[in-house]
Amino acid sequence: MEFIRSFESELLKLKGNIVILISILGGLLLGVAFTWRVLYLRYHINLTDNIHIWEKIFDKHSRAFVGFLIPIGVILICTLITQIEYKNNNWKQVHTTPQRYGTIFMAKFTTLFVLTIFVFILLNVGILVEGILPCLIVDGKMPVHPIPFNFFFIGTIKCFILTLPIIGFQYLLSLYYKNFMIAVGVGLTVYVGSMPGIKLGSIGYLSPYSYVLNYFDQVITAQHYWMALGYFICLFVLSYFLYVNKGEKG
Amino acid sequence: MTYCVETKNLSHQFSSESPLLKDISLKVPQGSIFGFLGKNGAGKTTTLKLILGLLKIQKGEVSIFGQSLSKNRIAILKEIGSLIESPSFYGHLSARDNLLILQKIYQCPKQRIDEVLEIVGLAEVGKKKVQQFSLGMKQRLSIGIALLHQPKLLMLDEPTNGLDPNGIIEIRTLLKDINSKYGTTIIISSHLLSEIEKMISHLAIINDGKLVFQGSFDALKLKQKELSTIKIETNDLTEACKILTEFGLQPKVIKEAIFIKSIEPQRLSQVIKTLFDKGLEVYQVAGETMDLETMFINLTKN
Repeated sequence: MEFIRSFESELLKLKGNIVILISILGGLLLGVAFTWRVLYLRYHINLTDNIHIWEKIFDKHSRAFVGFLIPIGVILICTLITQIEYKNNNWKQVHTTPQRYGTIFMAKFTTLFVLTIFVFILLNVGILVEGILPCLIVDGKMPVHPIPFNFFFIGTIKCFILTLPIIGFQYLLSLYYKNFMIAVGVGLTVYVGSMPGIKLGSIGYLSPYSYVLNYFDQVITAQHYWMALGYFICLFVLSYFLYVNKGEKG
Repeated sequence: MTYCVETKNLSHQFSSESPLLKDISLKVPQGSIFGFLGKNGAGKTTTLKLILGLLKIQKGEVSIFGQSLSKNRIAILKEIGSLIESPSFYGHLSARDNLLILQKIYQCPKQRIDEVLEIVGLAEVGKKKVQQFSLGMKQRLSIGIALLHQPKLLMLDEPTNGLDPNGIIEIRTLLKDINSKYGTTIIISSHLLSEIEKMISHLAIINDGKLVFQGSFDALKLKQKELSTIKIETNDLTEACKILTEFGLQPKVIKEAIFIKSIEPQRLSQVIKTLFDKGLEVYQVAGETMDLETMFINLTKN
């Protein structure tokens, strides 16, 4: 119950906050851009005989999304969520409420977790819009190829797992550093630095950003998903340890 | 006497700096309005942060309601309302939403939100975004946040900062009301004695991280009386000093006048009579009482 109350209060803090707008724009950006392009070309999926056309669309969307939009999006979401407290010196208020440190940590983490899931849901909405809307406008009917919902679901979960190390890393930075620029600056530097870094073999995987970049490069294996998950758990535990043991809490 | 908050030899040091707090042993009586005074940088906020668990205790102990904060943090914090340093709020939300966030956590009745907005005079602007509030309104909201769950202990760090004279009087009246109606213990810090002397029952004065006075307000007034002096002007300072010393007094000569510690009227009368009897001319005998503000400044001078 304590966690639910804490989570509810975290959701209330998002009301009218820019982080919601960033999540919606980030999630729908590719869908809107690709739909506009398809409508401009007056080309739609009913015109192709390829029965795997939905899978192709998902692949195209998710690679660009996971490789470029998600890292930037997660950096901003994590930073903005913790900045809600830093901005007006609210940590001291939060830490004098009757909540366990673990509850506060988890409630905030769940909020950003839910927001990231929301962004992934919007990615799928964008894919469906790109597939369905041009068919309805040009042909006046739904696509002939059935929508592979199961494929979308599993594909989204896989992409999400690859994103987890970034969430863990950025949450740690955002909790630890009051300065907005440190969390954003370090995040962006590590992200950009990881682009050539992933060519370095196993050392490249030390970067939490390497997993999404490998997905973009289509060099991802089943092992990478487990590595990403393990990496996230380590970062999550470290974040919690640093947060609970922080000498000054406000 | 039962103490609501008790600290024992609380000391604190920030990294390589010299210790900011040195053996602070505070005793805040239950049901009191406790003034915590000291000039800026004396260590008031650090002490309050240590009491609330916002800073890790390096040395010493803190007990609230007779319990250790580290062992009973949640139960203790349920009964505390606080305002530390600057006002805390979510600027992008309305005053009502700010209170709603805390209402969810404290699980107090929703009607308390309207009651609190009314109490702190923000009922009319409850739906306005807090970032559009003036400093005084923000301060009121922070006090409202501290009052929301009707705590047994209120800890307010310079709560009247940014308030106009009317606002200060209103807050003072409000805090006195809360204290008398509900028996709420209130710790209120300030660097101005004049700002809080009209409401406090007890006080502690901190200077450079050390407690220089602690006790009831009446005890401070007694100390004030002890520090009062009597100024005597005569034609022969040396002879007068001799006579005063014979009376067991410790005369001090400052600028053609003799100063002695305040004594009972009957004894003073005897002293003056003796001065006359010994042929001295007495031009003036005047009581010099140190006002509380001067006394506070003296106590907080190195």
